[in-house]
Amino acid sequence: MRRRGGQRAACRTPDAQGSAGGRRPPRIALKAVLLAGALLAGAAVMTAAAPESTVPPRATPPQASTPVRLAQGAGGGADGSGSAFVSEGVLPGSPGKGRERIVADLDQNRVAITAGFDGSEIFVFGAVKRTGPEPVSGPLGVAITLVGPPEKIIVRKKERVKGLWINRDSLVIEAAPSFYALATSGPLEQLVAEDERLRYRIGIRQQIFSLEGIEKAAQAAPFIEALIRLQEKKGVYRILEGAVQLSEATLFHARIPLPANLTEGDYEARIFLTRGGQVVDRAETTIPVHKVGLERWIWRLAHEHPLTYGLLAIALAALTGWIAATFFAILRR
Amino acid sequence: MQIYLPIAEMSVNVFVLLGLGGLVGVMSGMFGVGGGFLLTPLLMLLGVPSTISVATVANQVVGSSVSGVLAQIRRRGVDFRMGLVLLAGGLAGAAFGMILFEKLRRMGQADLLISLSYVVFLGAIGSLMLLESLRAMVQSRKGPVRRKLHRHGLIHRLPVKIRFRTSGLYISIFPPLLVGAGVGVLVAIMGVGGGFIMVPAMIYVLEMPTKVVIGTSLFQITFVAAFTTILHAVNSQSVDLVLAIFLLLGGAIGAQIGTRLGARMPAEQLRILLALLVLAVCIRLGLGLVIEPDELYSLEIVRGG
Repeated sequence: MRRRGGQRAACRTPDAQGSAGGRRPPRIALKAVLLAGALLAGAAVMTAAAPESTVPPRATPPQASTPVRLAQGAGGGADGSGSAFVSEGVLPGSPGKGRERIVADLDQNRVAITAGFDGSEIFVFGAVKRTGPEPVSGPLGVAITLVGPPEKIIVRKKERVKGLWINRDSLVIEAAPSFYALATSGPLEQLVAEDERLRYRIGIRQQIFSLEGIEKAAQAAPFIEALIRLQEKKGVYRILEGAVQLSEATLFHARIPLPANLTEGDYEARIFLTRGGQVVDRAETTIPVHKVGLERWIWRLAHEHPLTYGLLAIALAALTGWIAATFFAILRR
Repeated sequence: MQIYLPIAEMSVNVFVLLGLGGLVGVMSGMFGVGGGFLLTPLLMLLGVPSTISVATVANQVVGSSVSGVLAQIRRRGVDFRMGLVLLAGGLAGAAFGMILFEKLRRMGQADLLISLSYVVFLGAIGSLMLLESLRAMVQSRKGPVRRKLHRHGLIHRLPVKIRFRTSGLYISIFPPLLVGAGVGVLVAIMGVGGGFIMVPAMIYVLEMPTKVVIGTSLFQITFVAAFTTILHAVNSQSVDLVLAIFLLLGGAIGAQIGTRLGARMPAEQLRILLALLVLAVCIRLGLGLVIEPDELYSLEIVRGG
């Protein structure tokens, strides 16, 4: 890796490495982080060194394909009232929890699927608000999950029958998320203990439900593995270990890429703050993803008035074919 | 430039769609066949779900044959009475094909049904065409052989005879009904116009004169494809209008190129080329059924329930 100049210089000009695609990094996002950081630095009791020497260099330059808009109240508050995320505040259970809270926001609070939709990106940023000195009960971690609306999926397995490979066995998955992304600030096993992962349903497996009985669980396992493998291949299940940039144990941000083949619905974004493998706070918000304009109109017509849609499809196809043929016939003369 | 297909729920490059439509257009311009038999498998390769491919290509066929029918009507190349009989059979066949398609789709065997029908029909038509063209090439070297004007086979012995004036035929109503029905089934389950089966059947089975074959088959195909589009739209909401329109636009451009290319090549060679292409698609699909796939598992997202 190449690094030009000193660290301070690198903070002002995002390094060449990240902006390889030639896209202009939206500086505003970085500014937002810095702004939130500056505001929160006052509230938090900092135990480490001065912020400006370490905060920015690790922040990889943004690669947003969508223009970054700041949600309202992004920098708004040390009290978190203007933030899109609702923090749980004090979690019941173990003592020591509740002293650290999440204050976070998103760059966009809704995703619109337009005719030219080619995937998008959710930029999550936030900070840890402390009411006392930084606890020493293990290292701090941040895990962010983004879960799409559940779908019923049939997983089929091909088998050789009389020389032909055809679908034989199948497993019905009652609910599997249509999209699942998990971004963490480090290796998941170290960040969140297994019981906490089960409790808060962190991880793809914790999101997949089939109605098969326990006795069939062993047979179901390869089907569930296949489901995860195929969904990962489609780009709708992603484990992004290390994608959350955590600076000074206070500021964090992450980019979660959204593929073009998104399913409509409400996407749940959750942030988990962990210390020594235990979840100490969580915050969540909902991001609606919807088709808009013509895309929405076509889809609704197809599903709500299928006969009209069918007739329209025929009429439009006939018209297009006829116009194109006439156009070229005129051209040839 | 990407376009989001609202029904297939995926984003595809516009130029890929135009190119695909164009390629099929070149085919249809060169060989005079619809090209649906290439379009459906190509869309599936692109990642469009098979049911949406089949339904959308049926819609595309409507658009690509409409202008042809209009031109043929002007040229008096359509035997309307024969067309209507074929159409009656075609609609019944399409309805039956839809029931079969839906049943197998529920069982998760739609892909198998589509692939198998492609392999069988492309294989049969491709080899027949190849043999026929090779024989014709050999014969043209030996000198022409006169074919009998009238053969009295089975189709002349069946009851309920009808006079088809434009075609100059007096035959039973059943063979055209059956031919129409067979093609109707194919439109429903394969998403093809069926011209590649219809035209040989009309020439060799019904013994129609060549000048009305193209027009009459286009006439029947247009209506059967329209009917199938509606059935798919109502049954499974799998017709993607946006996809169909981009394929049509590409197809219109491709057809112009294809017509010019076709005019430069000798007809016999052209037919051999088409036969080889049909066989290649057949072999490709056939291998997919026989060779162990890389991924044994597949997903089906159950919508609306």
